Amino acid sequence: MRPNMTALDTWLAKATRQLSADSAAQVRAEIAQHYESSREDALASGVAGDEADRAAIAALGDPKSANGQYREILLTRSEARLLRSSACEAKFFSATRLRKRLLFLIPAAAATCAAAAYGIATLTAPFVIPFTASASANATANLIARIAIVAAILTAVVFAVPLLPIYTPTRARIYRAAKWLTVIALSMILWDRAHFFEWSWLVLNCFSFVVWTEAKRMSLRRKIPAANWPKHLYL
Amino acid sequence: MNFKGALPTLILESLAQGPSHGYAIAQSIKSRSKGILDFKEGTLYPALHKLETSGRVESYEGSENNRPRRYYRITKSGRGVLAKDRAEWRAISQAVTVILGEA
Repeated sequence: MRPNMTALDTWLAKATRQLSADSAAQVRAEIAQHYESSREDALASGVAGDEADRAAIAALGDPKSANGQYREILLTRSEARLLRSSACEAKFFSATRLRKRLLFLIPAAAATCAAAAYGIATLTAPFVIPFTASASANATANLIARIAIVAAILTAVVFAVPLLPIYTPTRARIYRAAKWLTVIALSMILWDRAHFFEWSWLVLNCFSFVVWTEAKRMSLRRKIPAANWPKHLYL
Repeated sequence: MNFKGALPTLILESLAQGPSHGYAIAQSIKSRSKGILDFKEGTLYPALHKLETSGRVESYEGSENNRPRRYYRITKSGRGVLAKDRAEWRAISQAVTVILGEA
């Protein structure tokens, strides 16, 4: 490496901040090619070596501004990480036909659990005396029934994905709309006004992660051409 | 003038003349505008990537003076967008000329 490449390296380090390894390599390659051409043109027009380097760097502009624009269009480190981890999850869930089918045992078990808990709550309701241990047990059975039915529906929606023909952006949009409507409807089932503030920290923590992941996925869908989307990005 | 917003259209116009690499596109815009549109060249590539993601240009590996270079060419969809942008620009330009002419 020539000593006068340092200015370019500094520019590139700033311009590729937070970009994924592949994106950074792409930026480095194209900017290095650009810089070389710019420098050669300056040298050919009679400018001295150092001055040609400075002119080539100056022509590139502010690296921070370029970095902001690159981050809007190329994959960042966190997005690349999410893409990799989602690919691993998708691979696990749809590895074999048997596994795809076996996964439905989870919503089935949750639904059975919900039915059993609801049955217990219904059967014991006539015998419940307020402010007694039986009232507390009845409320617990009701809560377990609600949580189990939410888990059953949610896991069924998620595990049905490998079996659904979702391979166009339109179908993906329909699935996502259905998924979020289900999540909202299920949140209503779990909604407990009496203890809302008591559990709000847990709800906020869970939802902040979901919102963060969804925001990253939206960004990925914008950055990757639809033709190159992996299956899990449709969801 | 909001030159940043016009950069993608200028890139498409430059590529409508034939496939080219980033540096040549930048020089083409500068020379054809007689140096008036002097933009920072580091902003050219994000605009090119955006056009590529939206399918308006496509890229391929080529070489110039035995050095590898990434070339870009306009797609059919890109030509359609360019025609639309050109018509819009003419309308805006005429409207602004009329207003400024009246002042």
